[in-house]
Amino acid sequence: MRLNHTSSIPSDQPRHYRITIQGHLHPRWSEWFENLTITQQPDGTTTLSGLVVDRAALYGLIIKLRDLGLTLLALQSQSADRG
Amino acid sequence: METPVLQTKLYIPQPRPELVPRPNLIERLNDGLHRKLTLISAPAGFGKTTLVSNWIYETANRSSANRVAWVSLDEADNDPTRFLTYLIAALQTAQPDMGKTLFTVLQSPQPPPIEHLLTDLINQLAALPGRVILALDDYHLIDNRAVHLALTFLLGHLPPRLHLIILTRSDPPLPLARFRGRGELSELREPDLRFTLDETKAFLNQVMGLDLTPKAVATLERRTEGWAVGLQLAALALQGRADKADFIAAFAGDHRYIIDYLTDEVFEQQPRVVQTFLLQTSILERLSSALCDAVLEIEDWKLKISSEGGQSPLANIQSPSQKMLEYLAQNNLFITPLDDRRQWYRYHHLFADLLRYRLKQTYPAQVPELHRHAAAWYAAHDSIEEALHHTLATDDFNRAADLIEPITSPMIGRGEAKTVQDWIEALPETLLKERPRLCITLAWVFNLNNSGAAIEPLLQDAERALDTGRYDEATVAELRGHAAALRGYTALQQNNPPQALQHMAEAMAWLPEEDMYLRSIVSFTQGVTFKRGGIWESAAETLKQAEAYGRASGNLSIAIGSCIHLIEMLITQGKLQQAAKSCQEAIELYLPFQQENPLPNLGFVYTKLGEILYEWNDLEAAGENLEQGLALGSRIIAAWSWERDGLVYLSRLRQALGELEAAQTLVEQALNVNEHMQDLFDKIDMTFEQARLRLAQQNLAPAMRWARQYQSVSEGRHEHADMMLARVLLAHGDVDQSQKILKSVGNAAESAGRMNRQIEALVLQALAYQAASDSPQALAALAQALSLAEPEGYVRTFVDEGPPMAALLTKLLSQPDHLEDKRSLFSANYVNQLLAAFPDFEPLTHKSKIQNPRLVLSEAEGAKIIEPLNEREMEVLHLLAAGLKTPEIAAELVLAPSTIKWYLRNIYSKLGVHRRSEALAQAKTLDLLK
Repeated sequence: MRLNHTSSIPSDQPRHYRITIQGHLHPRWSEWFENLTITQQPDGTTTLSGLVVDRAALYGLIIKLRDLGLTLLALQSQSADRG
Repeated sequence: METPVLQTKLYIPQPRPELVPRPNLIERLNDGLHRKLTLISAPAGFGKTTLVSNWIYETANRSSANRVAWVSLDEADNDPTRFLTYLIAALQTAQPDMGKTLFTVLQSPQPPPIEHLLTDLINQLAALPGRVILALDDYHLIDNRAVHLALTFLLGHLPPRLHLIILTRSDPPLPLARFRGRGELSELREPDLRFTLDETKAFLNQVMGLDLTPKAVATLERRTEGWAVGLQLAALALQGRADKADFIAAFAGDHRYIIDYLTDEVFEQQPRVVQTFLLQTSILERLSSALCDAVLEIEDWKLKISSEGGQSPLANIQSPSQKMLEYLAQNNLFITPLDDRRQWYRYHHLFADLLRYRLKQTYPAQVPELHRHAAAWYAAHDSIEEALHHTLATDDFNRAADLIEPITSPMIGRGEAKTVQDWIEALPETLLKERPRLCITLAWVFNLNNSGAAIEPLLQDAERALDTGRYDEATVAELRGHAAALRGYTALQQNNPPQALQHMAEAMAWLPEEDMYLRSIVSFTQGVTFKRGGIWESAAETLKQAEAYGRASGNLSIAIGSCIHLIEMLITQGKLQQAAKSCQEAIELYLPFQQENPLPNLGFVYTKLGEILYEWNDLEAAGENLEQGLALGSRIIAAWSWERDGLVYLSRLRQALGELEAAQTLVEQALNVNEHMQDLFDKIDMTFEQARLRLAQQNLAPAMRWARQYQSVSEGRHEHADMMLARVLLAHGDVDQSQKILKSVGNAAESAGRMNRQIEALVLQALAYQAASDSPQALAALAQALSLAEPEGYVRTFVDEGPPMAALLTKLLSQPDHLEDKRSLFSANYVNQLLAAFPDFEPLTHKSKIQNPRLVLSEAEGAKIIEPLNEREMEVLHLLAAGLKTPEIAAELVLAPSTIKWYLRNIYSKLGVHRRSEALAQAKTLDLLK
């Protein structure tokens, strides 16, 4: 039984996030989104995943999604030992 | 020295000639005018700005009853001063003479609280005929709490005829739920703004002339989901293709983020030269042909065209960017004009973002180069802030620092400290340590926003840099002076006046004479600090300096402020005549400046004059001056002790006239002002004024409650309140306790030269002794008070004490034998004047019945007081009777004219007259001229 350690990370520490948006976004947008890994999914969505430095960075990313008119479908934090 | 206002930010975007009509949205906007706020909240590219600007031109502006003001916000508007500046500037386009005073007050180093400014603005707006519509575009760029609070305040107090429209990509942190609940909010959101099928058809076929089948239209509508920018891009992509059906099919079947997909399409379709233009100018916030030419280094560009060999129709363009900009505009390539003259444009935000990113990915090396060109052009055209923006984008921090240094002082002076702080904090720390001037500037910013702890490290950094010997003497002196001044202010904030004075003296020693602005501020602070410590001479000296420097550097606020403090000191020392004269001189000197630039603190000179006239019992003139003081000074500036005091004196005036209700209202206003005061030294507990009022209304219980509460705390003690306590105790019969306080205050006042307070204390002591049935002591104290008070014409200090004082004065007149003390020199006429001022007074003497000129008789008691004219005064009187004027009398007696005036005043006083003719008449009646 592996415990989920994500909640014990202090809120100002980097965390792994996985963001799901509607539509396919080209991987070349990675630099725009702070070097998150961009993967187009077969169901017509795209995931952006990776380490986000802190809360301010996370909200910055969300605003970037807003400003490009992308639709945010899901936002999850992942435990550190998952890529 | 005003903040330059970019007119392009105030420009209402003009609607395009062909637009899809959206009547139901127009209807909703019209409808929304009946409410307070219209919120248009949707992501980029939904046509918010287009819709609202179109509505303004078609409907709102058509009606002459509506006036429209527009602000296109940007990140820099997160500085509250800047935000308000643009707000006011925009409203001025709708109503030209609005808010001029506000600009002056706003653009100062420490502007008053935003609510005060907004309240004044709101009042001005409420007075306007017709409706004003204020539109704020791109509100999502604002993330500064103070600005949000300001807007919340504005919305909470919106005058009926002002309607606010906010366009934003995210719901702003304003109390929207509250407005919704009250039906005060009208909203247009994403679902509302999506193009319907009909609108899509109209756009694609009529506006863009594509002639698509209904199925094609439906497909595009579904794929773009009615997103305006998506439709625009799709239309542009289709315009350039013959195989429209294929394209639409491919597009529909693709999951790609449509903006990416379509932008690629549209971009690829453009000739190379247009692509280059788009990419390279994408770094610019705004575009003009001259600026674009500079960025593109147009000479090279021309060469590139000719080398391409004319493969596209555009290859024949040899003219610079202007033609290109027009081409883009004509072809709806996401460029929008920012003025009527086709001089400035900008790209649609979304498009610009994409272009910038594309540039960064494909030609990364060009980016810093382009920014440098833009920065150079802006610098050459004196647009330093924009030059700075581009310089920071190249990480050339040294150059950025060079640009920042010369402009920060005026900016701080205009209240833009926040902007300055942001810029300096964008520089690396190591760089900052090498720039002592910037360290000092940042320290000033921290001083202004009360971040005292951060100051000392900056000063030390600055001094270390100065110690390296790299800077010339003048710079070193100037910056060391600033550092000393800052330490002085910090010491004041830490409540250490002696230390502060030391630093300030050091500052004055270092600062060059030419830096008159700072010298005026430092000497003013010195003066006020000395004054609070009761060190009159040094206070007077430094305040006079402050006035001189203030005038010389155009810092009239300091100049007038210095006058007011000087006048206050004179009043404290009981020098009422001099104080009144100073008031009049100040008014004469500064009133003319009021025309060009409102002077918020001039009003308080009138207040001081009003206080003095009140004391002299010239109630009508006093009232006029006090009202004038409040009218000129209040409302838009920070509540100062003078505003409070003005209200207090007006309250006393009403009391003196028996208008107790009016007096009560005024005291409540004064209490309110006191609550908002920020300078804790001056903010004393004002409830004693309430207690005074209750006492006057014979309502002892609340007064006693206050007294007991005041006695129970050891903090917040103030002499004024102590005196009130003594009064209340006396009224309550606690004579001994009262006397204790009065003696203590009286002695302290006497030794400190505070004659104003000394007289007040003596007056109350007299009443206390009388209450304890100790007549001799009572009369002695009263006599002393009178002798101090007479030369300066005090009246109300006595009269405000009511019938007990009247009785005591009457008693004094009838018992001259007790007055053997040489200190007690006053005239019977003075006492009679005082008695005449009491409300229910019946005169004891009648001028015409005076037989012996050297005596004043009390008919009822038949006693006599001797107060003759002395030898000198008789001489003057004789010369007066001979018809000589003051200078002639002065020459005759070999004295200064001011001395003669002094004798004349005494003569008038002793004879109970006000002017020359009366004096001569009286002298004749009394048979003085032998």
